[in-house]
Amino acid sequence: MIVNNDCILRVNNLVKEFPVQTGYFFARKHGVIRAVDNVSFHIMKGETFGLVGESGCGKTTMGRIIARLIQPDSGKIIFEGNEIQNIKGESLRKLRRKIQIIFQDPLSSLNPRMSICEIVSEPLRIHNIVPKSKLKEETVKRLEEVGLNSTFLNRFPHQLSGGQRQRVLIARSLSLSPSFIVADEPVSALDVSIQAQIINMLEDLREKIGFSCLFISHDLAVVRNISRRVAVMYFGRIVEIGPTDSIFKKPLHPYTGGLLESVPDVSAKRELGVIPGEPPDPLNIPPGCPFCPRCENSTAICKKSMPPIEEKIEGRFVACHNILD
Amino acid sequence: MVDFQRIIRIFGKNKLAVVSFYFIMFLILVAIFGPLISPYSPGDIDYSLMGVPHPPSMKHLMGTDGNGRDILSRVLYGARYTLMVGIGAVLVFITIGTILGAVSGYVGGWIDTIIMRIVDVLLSLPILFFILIIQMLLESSIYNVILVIGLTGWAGTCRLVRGQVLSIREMTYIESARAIGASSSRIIFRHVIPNTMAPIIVMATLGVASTILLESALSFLGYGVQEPNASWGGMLNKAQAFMSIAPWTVFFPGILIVLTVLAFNFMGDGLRDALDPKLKT
Repeated sequence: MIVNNDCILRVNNLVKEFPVQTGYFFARKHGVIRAVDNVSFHIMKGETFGLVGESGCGKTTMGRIIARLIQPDSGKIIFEGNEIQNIKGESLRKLRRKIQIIFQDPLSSLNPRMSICEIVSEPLRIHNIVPKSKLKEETVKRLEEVGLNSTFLNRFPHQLSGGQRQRVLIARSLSLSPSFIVADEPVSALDVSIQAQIINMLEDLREKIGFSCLFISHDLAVVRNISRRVAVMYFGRIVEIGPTDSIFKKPLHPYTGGLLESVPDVSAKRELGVIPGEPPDPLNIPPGCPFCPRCENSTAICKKSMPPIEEKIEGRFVACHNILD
Repeated sequence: MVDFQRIIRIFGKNKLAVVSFYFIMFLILVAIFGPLISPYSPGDIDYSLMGVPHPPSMKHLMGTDGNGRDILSRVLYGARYTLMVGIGAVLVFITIGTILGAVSGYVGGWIDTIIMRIVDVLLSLPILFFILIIQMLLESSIYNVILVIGLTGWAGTCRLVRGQVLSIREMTYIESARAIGASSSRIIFRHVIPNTMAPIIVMATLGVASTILLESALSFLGYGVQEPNASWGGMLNKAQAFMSIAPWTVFFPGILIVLTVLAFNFMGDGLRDALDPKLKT
């Protein structure tokens, strides 16, 4: 294992399974769904790391595990040199100051009965960061950081626009000056023009405050813009990981290739590529590569064995028997 | 940091709720100052009118009951007991029910199982008889009535709040509160319970109504507020022997129970709308 001081977060062989139950009166365990299957990656200090994949591939679960909102079944999360997958109580509370998460839907992430002032100042109050007398002043400062002002203090979430809500949510997450942010599709619920504003703001704040970021998205264009390295997830596994530019220029995994083909292009009018089929039934996983039934490049070996993730070209890790060329 | 002006403005739009609010305030004033304005003491017996109820007259504005006591005075004194029992018991059982329900729903696991089994037991007890037994064992004072109704009546609230909490705890803002390091008690009291307020308020208003009815049944059976003290329920039940020949003995306490119960319900409706920040205007 590479030990690197510049590495802020390292995830090793993370697994999360969700039990599936059937029946109401006599609930029994029907099976398990592996939402996250043996995922490993690392994120460097100050880096924005992209995580892309289709809906249901486990990327949100991944983010919530790192933010310690759900417990992984096995594997390690090493944050700033310490294992954090099992910590509890006071040390978990301390960790919360360092790792923050920004959720996808800003409306449901804000308590509808709390004013903006209460929402943004809550982390400060919980962690006793500023004295009570300075609380309001500090809250205004945080709001100004995200482009809002003191007129928002006494408003409620439902009185704000989507972009403003997301700004409030970001102000709340950043008020603890975290060193790591999990941004779980922070702009997917917003208009394209607002998306750009929020992303630019996040980037400015990242440079100013200096946090590292796991940026989860299904929007490849956004990820290409914001992250230097990117991981592609499919069916709970990472299928390709490497520098963003090189992946977008020359995808090696057929799934990544399909994803890039399926992105509509504003300037060029071309036929959109469609990845045929759907992921296999997670309760009844066939042996071999889970992408195999949808893959044009598949051969006999793909049906039999699961390809391990390996460095195929320098800096490019791919889990595929027959990479694209 | 609640926007009171907004709440008052929305509440003010519901005229029925406003009228009900003033009516309840009036009742509370009567309950406090009743002894000052009542013409007689509730136990005073007009010996010239004893034996049969007498209809309203200038001397007795609401008439007299079978014992020759002034109904107006008894109604004024009765307001105090009826409201005290109604509001007091509801405060006790809403507090217990809300906290236990929120804990049960939020924490889950074996704590949830234990609390819900207690709720099942309470809901399957014939509550009136249960209260009667306790009242028989204890000294039957008004405080015991409040405590006994309060301590046995929280099961419905508990179940309601638990159901609400089960849906609220899946909301992203609860996860968001956990992500900033909020403790479980902070999440329950600051995030979960405020979002269950609307149904709790409705539950409380209905609770006042049903408690007043329960108290009157207790009084009738001799285990509620003790004679010569008056409560509306007790008066109603004492009067039933004369119902056909002296309707005024039933009418005044009866109409007050109906109006009070209605007022609490209307006020609850108005409050529910006013406390919902998502409602526009």
